Amino acid sequence: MLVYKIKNILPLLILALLSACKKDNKKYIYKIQDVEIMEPGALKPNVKTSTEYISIAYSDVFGSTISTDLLKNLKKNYISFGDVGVTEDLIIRNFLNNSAAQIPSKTDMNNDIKQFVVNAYKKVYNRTPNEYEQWFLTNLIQNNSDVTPDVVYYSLMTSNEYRQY
Amino acid sequence: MERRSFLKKAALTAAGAIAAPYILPSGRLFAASGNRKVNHVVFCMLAGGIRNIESVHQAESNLMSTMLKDVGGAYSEKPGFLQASEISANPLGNKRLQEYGSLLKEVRFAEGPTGHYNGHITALTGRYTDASLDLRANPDYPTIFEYYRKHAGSSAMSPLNAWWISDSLGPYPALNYSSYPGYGASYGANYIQPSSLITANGYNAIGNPLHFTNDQKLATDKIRGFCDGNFASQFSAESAGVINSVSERDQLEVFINELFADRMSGPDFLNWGSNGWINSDLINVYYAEKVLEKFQPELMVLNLQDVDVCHTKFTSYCNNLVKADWGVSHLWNHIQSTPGLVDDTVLIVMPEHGRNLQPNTVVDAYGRPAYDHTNDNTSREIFTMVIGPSGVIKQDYVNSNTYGESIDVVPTIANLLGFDVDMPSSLITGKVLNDVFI
Repeated sequence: MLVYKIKNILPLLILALLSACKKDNKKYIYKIQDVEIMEPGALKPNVKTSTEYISIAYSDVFGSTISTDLLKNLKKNYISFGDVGVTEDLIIRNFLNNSAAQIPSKTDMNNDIKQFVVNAYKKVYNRTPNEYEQWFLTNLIQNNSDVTPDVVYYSLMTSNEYRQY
Repeated sequence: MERRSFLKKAALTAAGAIAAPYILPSGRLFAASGNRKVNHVVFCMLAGGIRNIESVHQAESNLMSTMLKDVGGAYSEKPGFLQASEISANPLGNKRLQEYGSLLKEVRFAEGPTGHYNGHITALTGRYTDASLDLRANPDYPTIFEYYRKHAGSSAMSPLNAWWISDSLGPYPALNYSSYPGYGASYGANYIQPSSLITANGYNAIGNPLHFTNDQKLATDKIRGFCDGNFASQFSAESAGVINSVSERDQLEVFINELFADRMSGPDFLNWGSNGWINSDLINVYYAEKVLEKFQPELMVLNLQDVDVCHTKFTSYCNNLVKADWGVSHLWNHIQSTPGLVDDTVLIVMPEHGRNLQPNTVVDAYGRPAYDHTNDNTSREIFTMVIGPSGVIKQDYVNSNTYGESIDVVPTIANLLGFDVDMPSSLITGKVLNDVFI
């Protein structure tokens, strides 16, 4: 009984097999997208002066231009201490601790983390984050409740990239 | 015990026995080749241009009556001079500072322009220079701070052990390290200009920082590390100034906050004398003492410059010399009152240069002519005082002959801290002031 059934469907099976092995005559053309390879940082080769660093940081945090008197005062602080990193750190954290600082709230950040990261990069680095940067920060914010907007902005503003333009 | 395990443990024990003697209590891995005479040196540049005529020769009576014994008579209240009642009591009681060490009366600033910039560079590098004033340029040759941090121990010598404290800005912030290849910011000193930083304006600007929790600090480190890892930085130590480690920076921030708190609550220097007694020199002394208390650095240099008013006001020059003298004695008294520093510190005092013999055309309100400093022989005459433990420094000793130059302070400090033999001889032009040693 079983042999009879196989004999009946054998031609169909052979036909199906032959049609499945049909040669593909389509032409595939593989192209390579041109990508300009640059060393990271190549677009920001210059180190900011103390005046530039303070002025830009103020604008980034407060959304307005620093006054001449405040700039003069901060610059004096800047050069009055030998470890520039210590002074810069204090300046940035004092900016962020000011009630007039225009930094998104944690609620705003959590409502749209991806957009928060994009906005932070645009504001601080003057560029959009690449995919890896976007993933890294988004993932960190999602999984670490200690990462507040202040933490993100402070970290970016004390990084090496922020010291250059 | 297995043979392999035995051999491994034996090798580790042997390595430990070899390395252990070189791991010093200070954390340094290797000791300098020479023997230390003391563990701390404070170099006070009594700068601004002081003539030997008014200092050690006391032509206007003894204006330095806490440091120097009277030569021709005690301090005299001449017209315009501070009244005795306006002068704070001698911090040393009935003693004079010179009794605790050696006074070299006739030292010379032998070469180069007698300008403040050149004088400071010469004293800090041990080399004469004719460099033009450049507000942003570091000295061409290594400073004593760099020699110390590079040669007194391992390259890991903490920058908290070396301090440069200036009483004004201008070119002085750039003197904590040189541009010399192989030295530079990596071996520089921590620097502070207190009267610009520790002020009400300074407090408003940087005295109220956002504070992060430890977990948030870890998060910032992680984000910053990620960002820096993705950025090829040209930001170098040279452009960043002296670099402290994370823990050292934490200590510095605590220190700055302490200074702000002290400043806003009423600093103790307000109790140092009557109204008008405190000037920027004494404020610099006050904060130098704060640094000594906090960090007990092995090497500190501070300067005083208020006497430079002599360009226009000779009377004020004399009064500021009285205050500078008091400040130096207060500094020594403080050193001798600070655990860790007492009996283990040498204090060197030296003007960076003198002033001219002939006055300029300016006459002050009391009819006294003013003096510049433009390279004549008198402007090259300075003194040096070396104060320290009786087992190291000759006590109550005076050398009135011409002996020593301003370039000799660098090798003398190096000798005191035991690394003079480790410094490249090709860079050193001065000699150790051996006459002051026991």
